[in-house]
Amino acid sequence: MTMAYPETLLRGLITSSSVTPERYVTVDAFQFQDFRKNRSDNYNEMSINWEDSDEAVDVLLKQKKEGSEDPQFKVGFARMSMASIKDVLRPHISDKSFSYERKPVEGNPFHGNLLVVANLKGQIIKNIRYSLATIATADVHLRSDEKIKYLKKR
Amino acid sequence: MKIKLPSYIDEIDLDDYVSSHVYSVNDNNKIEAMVNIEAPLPVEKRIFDNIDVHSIKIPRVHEFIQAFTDQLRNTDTSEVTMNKMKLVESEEGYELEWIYSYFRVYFSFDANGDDTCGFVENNTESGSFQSFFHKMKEKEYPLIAKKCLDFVKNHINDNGLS
Repeated sequence: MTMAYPETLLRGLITSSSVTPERYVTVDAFQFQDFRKNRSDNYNEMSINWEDSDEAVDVLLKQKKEGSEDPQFKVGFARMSMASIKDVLRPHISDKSFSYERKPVEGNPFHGNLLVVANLKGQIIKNIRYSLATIATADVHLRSDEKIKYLKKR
Repeated sequence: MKIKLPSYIDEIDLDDYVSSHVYSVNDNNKIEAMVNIEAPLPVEKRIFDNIDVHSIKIPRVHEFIQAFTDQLRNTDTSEVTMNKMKLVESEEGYELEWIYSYFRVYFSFDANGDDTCGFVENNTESGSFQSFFHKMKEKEYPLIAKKCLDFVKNHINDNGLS
């Protein structure tokens, strides 16, 4: 069965080094994590929220750091177009070195992951990370923006 | 030390310049000094200003920055505004990230000797999407720097952005 995905996804921004003063998203915002002990495939993952509805933004912004009352994504988030991801990363999607999935977790039905094959060459993983950062730069929302809570899809 | 300057230069403050000296003994047993004076880049071309170059421990990165600086010196950038590069330090080595609104260029220098340069474009208005990278060899630094400068200049001009 083919899984349905929305047109956009959200990537939470945790550290100030994720965004430059000019609001460009840097490669620091895109790190893949090795959670293969919890997976049956050979992918490393990076958390995202699928923007199925406006509620996805609220859930992301309200998410707390584990064991703390501080927000998990204290800088803000970037909205990324799936069409751009498919266009820019087409070769990596074709050979399945890059993929994505839905993976709802408790309290976050929008949760999912971007995936890269774990033993991929470092140069290719870098290219994927820089590509994602470039796509993310198109639509950045910072907590310091006064109207962030009213931001909806373009 | 007295330095005879060309007539078109009134005076210079050597503190503002990068200088190096080469000394030799001539046929009359007199010491001759050759002073190489390199003017600093104009402000609009100082794309490495936000980088603490002295903290970089891989010599190839210094060579690349020098090659890039040399190319910048010879490139007409009067019609574009160039952004500053950003240094990313990782376990593998260093990366230089050059970000613009719709595209970016990056240079990666791994401690194991693998160097790459990459280009990414996500221009939804023109429908131009690309992402690729190439391995770099040290002897190619000047050529790669020139190509990157041309790429960035063309993209800034095409999109009317900085």
